[in-house]
Amino acid sequence: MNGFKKRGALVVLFLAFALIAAACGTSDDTTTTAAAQQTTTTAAATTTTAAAETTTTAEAMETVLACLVTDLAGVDDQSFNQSAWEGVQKAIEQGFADPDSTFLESDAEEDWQANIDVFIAQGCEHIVTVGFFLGGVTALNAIEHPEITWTMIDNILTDENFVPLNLANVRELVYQTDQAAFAAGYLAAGMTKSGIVGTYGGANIPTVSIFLDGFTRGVAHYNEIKGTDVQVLGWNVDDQDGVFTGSFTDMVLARDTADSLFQEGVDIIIPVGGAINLPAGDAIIASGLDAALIGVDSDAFFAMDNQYADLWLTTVEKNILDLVALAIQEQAEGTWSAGAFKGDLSNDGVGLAPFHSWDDRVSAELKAEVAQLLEDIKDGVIKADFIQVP
Amino acid sequence: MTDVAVSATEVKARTTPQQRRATIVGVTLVALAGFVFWAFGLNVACDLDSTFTLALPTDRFPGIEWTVNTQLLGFVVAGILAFLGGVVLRRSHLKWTNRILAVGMVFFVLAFLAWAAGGKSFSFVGMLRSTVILSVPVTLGGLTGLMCERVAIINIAIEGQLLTAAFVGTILGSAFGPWVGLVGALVSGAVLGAVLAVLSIKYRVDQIIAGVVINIFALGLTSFLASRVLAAAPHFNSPGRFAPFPIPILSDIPILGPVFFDHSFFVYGMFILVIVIHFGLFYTRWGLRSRSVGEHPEAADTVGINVYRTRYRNVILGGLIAGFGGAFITLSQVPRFEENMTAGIGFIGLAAMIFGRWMPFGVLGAGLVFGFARGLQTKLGILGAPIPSEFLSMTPYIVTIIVVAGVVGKARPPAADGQPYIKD
Repeated sequence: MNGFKKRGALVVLFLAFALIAAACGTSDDTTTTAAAQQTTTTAAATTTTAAAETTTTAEAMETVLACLVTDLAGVDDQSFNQSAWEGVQKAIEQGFADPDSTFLESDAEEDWQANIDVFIAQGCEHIVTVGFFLGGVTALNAIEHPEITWTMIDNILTDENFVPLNLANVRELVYQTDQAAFAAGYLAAGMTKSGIVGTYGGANIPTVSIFLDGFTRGVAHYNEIKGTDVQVLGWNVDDQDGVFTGSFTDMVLARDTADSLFQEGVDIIIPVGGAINLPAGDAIIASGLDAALIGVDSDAFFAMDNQYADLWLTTVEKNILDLVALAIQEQAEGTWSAGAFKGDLSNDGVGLAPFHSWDDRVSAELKAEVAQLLEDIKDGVIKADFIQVP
Repeated sequence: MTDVAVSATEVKARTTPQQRRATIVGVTLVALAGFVFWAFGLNVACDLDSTFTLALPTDRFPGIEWTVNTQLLGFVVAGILAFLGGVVLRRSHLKWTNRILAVGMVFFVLAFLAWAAGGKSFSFVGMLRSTVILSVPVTLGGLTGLMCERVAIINIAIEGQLLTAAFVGTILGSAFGPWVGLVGALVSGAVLGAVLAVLSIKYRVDQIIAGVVINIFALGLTSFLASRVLAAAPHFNSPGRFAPFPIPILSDIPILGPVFFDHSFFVYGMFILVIVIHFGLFYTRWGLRSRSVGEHPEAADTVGINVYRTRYRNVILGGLIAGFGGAFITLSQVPRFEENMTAGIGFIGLAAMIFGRWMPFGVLGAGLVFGFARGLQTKLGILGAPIPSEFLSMTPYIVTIIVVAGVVGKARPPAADGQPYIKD
C-alpha cells in the first residue's frame, strides 16, 4: 500500500507537470501537438448523448451518493468550487443525489489524494473533482476505480504523451469560455472612457487564459469595426502571456495588481482567478475611481458581496452548476455517458449575464450590438473561439 | 617587536574578507555595466522613448511625465555603473561597498525599467507606491522576528500570527467595527506569541518545531472556521475598512505625496514602529537589557536581569506587531478573510529580518526591496516585457535567495539565538 502510494504520488506529479506543459504548448489553434488532436470529440460533446461508451453504474432512478473534492479553495469561494457544490445540492433537491452527498475541501495539493481516498472508503458512487489542477490525481484514481463515476471539471484527462485517456467512467466538463469573453471584450471596448481596459489572472493555465484571450480579441474586434484604438493591458495575444499574480490566495498582491492597472489609466477590468477577483473591487472603492469590473464563472452581481453590486458591468458565465447536476441526474436515470462534454453559447454552457446596475449606462445601440454579436458567434458567422477546447 | 612586524606583513600579504568582497562587488558592477551597455543600449532602437508617469490619475496634479530616450539612458547608466565599479575596485572605501552596490542596483533597475517601457509609458509613481504598500506586511513580519530574535527566541510562526490576526480582525471587525477588529487582531497575534514563548521558554521545546506547529495550527484552524463558519454566515466576513488617510498638504506634493503620504494609517504605523524600535533597542534600558539577554543570557542574569521575563515580554510585543500586520491585510487592503491569504509573506518577513541584519532600519530596507520585487512582477506583466509570467512570479523568491545567500555579506545573529536558557 505504501509502495503504491509513493509511486502514485510520483505519477500524479508527472501527470500534473505534463498537463501544465501541455497547457503552455497548445494555446494556439495552429499548433499540432497531441492535445490539438483532441478536437475529434468536439462534435459529439455538444449534444447530451456523447458517442462515447455508456456505463450504467447505478440502477435507474436510485439516488447517487455524490462527493466533491475542491481545488485549493473552499466551497464558499464564490467561484467554480461553489458553483460545482451548488450543482450537487441541486441534484440533492431534485432527488437524484443522496442527501448524504458531501464535499471535502483541499488546503494543499496533497489533500486531493487524501480526500479522494476518504470518499472511496465512504463508498461514493459519483466523485466530482473541481478544477484543472486535479487532472492528474483524477486520472490516476479513475483508472484505479472503474466502478466509480467521475465528473472532471475544466480538464481533459490525458496520459503522459498528452493522448486523451477517454476513460469509460469519466465525464469531462469543459467550456468554450472565450465565446462569451469575446462579447464581454466588445462590450468593454464600447464602454471605456479612458480607452484602456485591463485584465489579470491567477496563473497562465488554459481555464484562466481562455477568458483573457477571448476578452482581448473581443476588444480588437471592436477596434476593427469601429476604427477605434482601445488598448488592453494584461494580455498579449501573440505571446499568449500577460499579468498573473502567480497565486490564487495572495490578497495583498492581487489588490496591488488591480491598483497597478488602474494607475495606468484602465477603467474596466476582468479579473480571473476566484478569490483574487474581488480585490479589484476594493481597489475601486478605496480610490473612488469611476471604474467597472466584469465578473467570471457565476453572475457576480448575485454571487458577490452586496457592497460590490454597483461595480459589475456584466459577468462571463460558465454554467458549472447545471452541468454538474445534469451529470448526477443522468447517472441516477441510467442515461449517463462518458467523454468530453463541452459547454458553449449554443447549449448555454457559457453566456453573458445581465448588466444589472449598469443597465441604464449601456446604450441601447451597444446592447443590440452585443446581442447580435452573441448570435453571430453562436451561428459561426464570427469566429470568437481561438483556444482549442476539446 | 618582531612579532608585530610579522603580523603586519601578513596583513599586507593576505586580503581581508572585506577586500575580497569589494573585488567581487566591483567586478559584478563592471560586468553589469557591460550588460547594460549591450542589452539596454546597443540593442535598443535609437529613436525609442520611455515615458515615466510621475503622477497617479487620481492625484491633485495629474499628468506629470518624464520622457527619456531609452538608448541614451542605457548608455548613461552603463557609464555610472562602470564608474561605481571602478571606485569599489580601488578598495579605498571598504565601508562603502554595500552602499555603492545599492546605488548601482538602483541605476540598473532604472535602466531595466526604461528598457521594458521602451516605446510605452509606465507609472513610475505607481511602482514606488506599490513598493511601499507591498512592503508593509513583510516589514511588520520582519520586525516581529527581530523583537523575538533580539532576545534569542527564533520565531518561525510569523506567518501563522499574521494569518490568525487577519482572521480574528475580520470576525471582530464584522461584528463590532474595524477598531474592535484591530484590537482583536493585535491580541490574537500576542496570544500566539505567548504560546510560542511558553513552549520555548518554559517547556524548552525546539523553537523551530514550536513555530512550525503554530503555523500549521493557524492555517488549519482558520481554514476550517472560514469554510464552516464564514461560509454559513457571510456577514461575519465583511469588516468595515479603514479608509485611506491622506496627510494634508504633504499628500499633494508631486511624487512623494502618493508614494508616502496617501495611505491608511497602517503604512504610517510601519514607519513609526521602525523608528520607535530602533530608538528603543539602542537608546533605552529596555533595549540594552533585551540585547544582553539575546547575546549572553548568563551574564545578563548575573547582573540581575530577569531573562525569562524579558523574553516573554519581547515575544509578546512581537506578536502585537504581527497582529498589526495581519490587521493591515483584512482591515485595510482586502476587507474579507480568504483561506491562506497571507500566502507565505511571514516567511519572506523572516528573510527580511536576516537581510536587514537584525536592525530595524535594515528590516525596513529589506522589506522595501521585497515589496519592489513583488510589485515589479505586475508592472512588467502590464508592460508586456518579453519575460514569461511564470518567471516574473519567481522574482521575489529569486531576490530572497540572492540577498540571503550572497549580497548580505556576513550577518551575525544574536549570539544566544535559539538556545533555551536554563537558570541554575
